[in-house]
Amino acid sequence: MESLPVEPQSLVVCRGLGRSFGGTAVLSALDFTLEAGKVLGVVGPNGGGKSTLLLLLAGLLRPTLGSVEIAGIPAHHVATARRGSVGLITADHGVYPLLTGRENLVYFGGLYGLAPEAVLARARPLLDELDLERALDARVAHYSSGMRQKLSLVRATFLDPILLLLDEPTANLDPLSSRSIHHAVRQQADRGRAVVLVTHDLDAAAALCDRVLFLDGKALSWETFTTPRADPALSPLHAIYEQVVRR
Amino acid sequence: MIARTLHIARRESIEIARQPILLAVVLTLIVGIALLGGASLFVLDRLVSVQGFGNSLEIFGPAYGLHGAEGFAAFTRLVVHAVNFLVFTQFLGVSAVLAGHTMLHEREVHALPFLLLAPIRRTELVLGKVLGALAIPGAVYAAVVVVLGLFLHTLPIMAPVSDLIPPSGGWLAAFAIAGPLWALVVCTLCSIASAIAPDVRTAQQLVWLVVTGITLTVCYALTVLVGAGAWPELALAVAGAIAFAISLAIASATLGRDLAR
Repeated sequence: MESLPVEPQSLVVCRGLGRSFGGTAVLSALDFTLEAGKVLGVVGPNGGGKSTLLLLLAGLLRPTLGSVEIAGIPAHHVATARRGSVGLITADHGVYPLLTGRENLVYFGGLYGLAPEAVLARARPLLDELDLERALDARVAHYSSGMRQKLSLVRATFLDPILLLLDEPTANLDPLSSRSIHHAVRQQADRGRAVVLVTHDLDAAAALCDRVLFLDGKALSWETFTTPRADPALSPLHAIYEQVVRR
Repeated sequence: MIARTLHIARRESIEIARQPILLAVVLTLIVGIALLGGASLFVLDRLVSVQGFGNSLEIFGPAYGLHGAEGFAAFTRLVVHAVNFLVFTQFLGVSAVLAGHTMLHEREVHALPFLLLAPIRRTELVLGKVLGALAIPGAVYAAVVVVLGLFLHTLPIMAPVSDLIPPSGGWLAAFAIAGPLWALVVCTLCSIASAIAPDVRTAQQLVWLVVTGITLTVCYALTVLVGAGAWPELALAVAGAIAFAISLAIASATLGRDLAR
């Protein structure tokens, strides 16, 4: 499997990015860049285009305006054999309930040409870290939401992607599960991956992100943290959110 | 390509195999109809020895200008055609319904974006899902027709109609070559239905349209041509191969990279 070249700067470049559905613009005139090792938080009201932005970054939607490039290649033009450089996590998990956790990982790894042993060898460190190894032979139908999301995180990372896209990864999770997911996400960034985190959890955004984009169809505001993982209690995000989204 | 296609097919089959009620229905339909057909011919075979029963079939024979043994053989022929038709229809119908749920299932479990992100071709994805839907019903059908064929060969009334049952050339060309190709066509069309349908109800109606329109036509054509020998069936097989290539291309185009399509 061929990987996308890792650039030290501006791994993701969006220029005038826009997307419409049936003539209705959901996202317009969005410009931003994201560097490796950084976490970009995307917050905003429902229907503000956050998930659409993530799908555009994944190359699963084509822009109707502008462009989005991942390591210099248009996201929707990344050749079939070069995919695998983008890891995706959604709130709906996207795992097969009738398969075991192990079978799920082996299945998705197999789609990338990985042998079962290679998949499990790559996944083991994070499985241990997330305490999921013991449940690996149980069917996913018997997993809690938190366990499914952890499995989804393992799937998104064992291919060693350069960009991680997370769509509300802790939605409906208890505080402990959320914390362990957040911790793992920050670790992924510290290992040099660029992360885009779509969330409604402003405290999590303040704690995890280097930069936060307030989005409601278009970029409303940016907040950059000079010190990532700031104390959520001191975070200005709630006040900014009220201010820009209600404007 | 083959390895990835089979990888997808295997996962599809495992999921089907882990649904006991679904599996029971598949088995009941294919095995049940085969048992019914086998039992009908067995009973007919026993009734031949009953005094005067053969003559009662004169009601059927004269309509075709057939009398005595000829009339009885014509009747037996009709029953065997019906058995061939019904057993294959069940296999095709069951597979069509399974294929008509493949893409919907991906959407139900929200796995489609992850499949579209993976370095697999749309053709591999569709073909894998189609083969996965066909695997279990196909295995059951194959086992059933072998057992049924062996059993029917033991019945004396089958001697004049042995060209209609395995391993005659016509039967093999129809149900071992043309049949599987048309099964691929039907399942690919149903997977398209599954991909374009916004919900389960619409998908079910589209699958029923395919089953009614294509499955019954194909099964009828395959069945009536069995007695004509291998060549007409091989012509049907060629038509099936062309239809399969076209339907696979349509399916791959339907499952575009843009999730909004």
